[in-house]
Amino acid sequence: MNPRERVIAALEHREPDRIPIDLGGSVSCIHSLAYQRLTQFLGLDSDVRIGDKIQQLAKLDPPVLERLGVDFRHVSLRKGFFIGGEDRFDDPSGRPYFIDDWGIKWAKNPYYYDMVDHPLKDATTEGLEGYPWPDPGDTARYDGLREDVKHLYEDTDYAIAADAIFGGLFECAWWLRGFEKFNVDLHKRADFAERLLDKILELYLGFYGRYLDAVGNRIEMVELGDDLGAQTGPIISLATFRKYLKPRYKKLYDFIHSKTKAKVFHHSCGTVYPFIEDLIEVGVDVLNPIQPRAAMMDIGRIKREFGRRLSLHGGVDIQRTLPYGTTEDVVTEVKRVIGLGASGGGYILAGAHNIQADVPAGNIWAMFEAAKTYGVYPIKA
Amino acid sequence: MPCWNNASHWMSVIELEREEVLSKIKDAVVSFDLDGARELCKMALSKGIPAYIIVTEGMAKGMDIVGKKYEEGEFFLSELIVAGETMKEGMKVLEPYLETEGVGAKGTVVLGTVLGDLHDIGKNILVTLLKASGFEVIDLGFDVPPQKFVEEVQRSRPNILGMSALLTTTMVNMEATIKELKEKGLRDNVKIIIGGAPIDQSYAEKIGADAAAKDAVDGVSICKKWTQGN
Repeated sequence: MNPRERVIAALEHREPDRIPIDLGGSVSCIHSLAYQRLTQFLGLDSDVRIGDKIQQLAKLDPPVLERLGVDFRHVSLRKGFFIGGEDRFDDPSGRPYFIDDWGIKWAKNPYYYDMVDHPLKDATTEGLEGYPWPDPGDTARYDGLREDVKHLYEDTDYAIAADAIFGGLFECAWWLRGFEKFNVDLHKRADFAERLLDKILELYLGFYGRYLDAVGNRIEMVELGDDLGAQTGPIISLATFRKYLKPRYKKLYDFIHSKTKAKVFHHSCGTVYPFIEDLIEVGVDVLNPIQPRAAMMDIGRIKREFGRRLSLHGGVDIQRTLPYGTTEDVVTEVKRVIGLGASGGGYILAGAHNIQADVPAGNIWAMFEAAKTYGVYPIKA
Repeated sequence: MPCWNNASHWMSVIELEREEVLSKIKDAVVSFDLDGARELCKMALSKGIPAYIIVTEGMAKGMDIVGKKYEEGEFFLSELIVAGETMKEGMKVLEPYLETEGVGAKGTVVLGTVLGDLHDIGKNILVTLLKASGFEVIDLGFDVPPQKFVEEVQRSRPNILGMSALLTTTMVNMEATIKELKEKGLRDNVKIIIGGAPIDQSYAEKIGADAAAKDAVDGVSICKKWTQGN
């Protein structure tokens, strides 16, 4: 099987020749510092370029992806929201910073950029419409995208994934408003919360419409996300989710399904178990990352309960095993998730978020080697 | 005609009023009534209730209920945040009076998110819960270098030092801080609690911290246990 066939089989819940492997995008990629060490380790080093400024993720070089055995190639918006602008240096904190196209301020720390100011912190419901929202009609965001995807589709046999354009609806709302403020909005200022979410949804429909027009049916997966969970439990209740997010997710995911046959991939860190049934209902085809150390996120249980209707993506622990384990620990971890996730296809292996700056190159190599070695079907559970 | 003991009669009416106001404050926290919390705290002060009592008998009782609902899975992080914001509205009114009362009888806690890390949601909830429980809290904010923690421990001689981190790349600064405290001979003067997504008990043991908190609600419970005699 070639990579694209492998991925298609898995996403259609058929067992491919081996478990597909992913590296790329905004939630399954690698921090530039770890990437630099990896390329040196592989003897493939070159200048590291940044693909995602906020998370400082590396742009991935094709020879590295080939060596690792990655089955995907990722595409994203031009002038993307994670790419950011030029840094400015006049902040009283001394930190370099930039303001993104949504008006959110991001300041640099040793490893990433953190959001440090929320432009809608003093907003009113009436003031929302007049805010300088980014324009989905700005064609610069899509220039050349169609040609790039066409080339990847016709001249390579990799599966193509379209990266998320920004955070999710809930995330975008609180990134703009402030986490504390938006949670108060959800409980005390419902009208404002609904208007803000509706505005963001309206813009996302605009962006995704044009994005998908450009990438068409040459992609296998469209990535979106929205963190609903934290390490020890969900961030919001199921009731809050069903009131504010579920109906809007449905509108967005229905729209995406109407534009492409690609599978809808939803990322949520942390404990997302209580929402899974609802996510399937609103059209999620692939759930990422199945964070292994978060409460209630045992991949075996999720596979058993939802695996026939939901593909799983991710799974390999990046909070402990990858940064602190031995290479043997990494191999054991890979074998563990493969054993629990492989049956009947519907599993794509990746780190359970971006590989962080502190992961040794040897461990990254061990992860991908083990994935190729032990991911060959048939796989004993 | 019953003979009233006028003084005790009126004392009990005043007590009832005070109890009523404190109970309403408790309810305001649980129902996230931000405006109500603020106005009721003003009313409570005007009735002569000491600010410290308003915190521990009014707001704290509310936060206890919120904490219990969180542990029982009825409330989630979102509700903890909003309850915290409600309590902050009350604290805005009460804080000036708390300073003059010189409270913090439960103990003093120095808290911060470590160097290189700007994540502070959990830490901020812990600040609120600790204040509600009668602790004096010195919140150093985020991106706090080891020397700053050490200087504050030296200066304010707290019972407890708490450190928070979200990232595996920054939690190493917890170990660095503990090392510096040892070098300055300060480690034995203070109990150390750590928290954050990548933290667990084995990490706490590895770096020589006294406890790892699962979350803010767990954290305040640990701090209360440590200062039980106070």
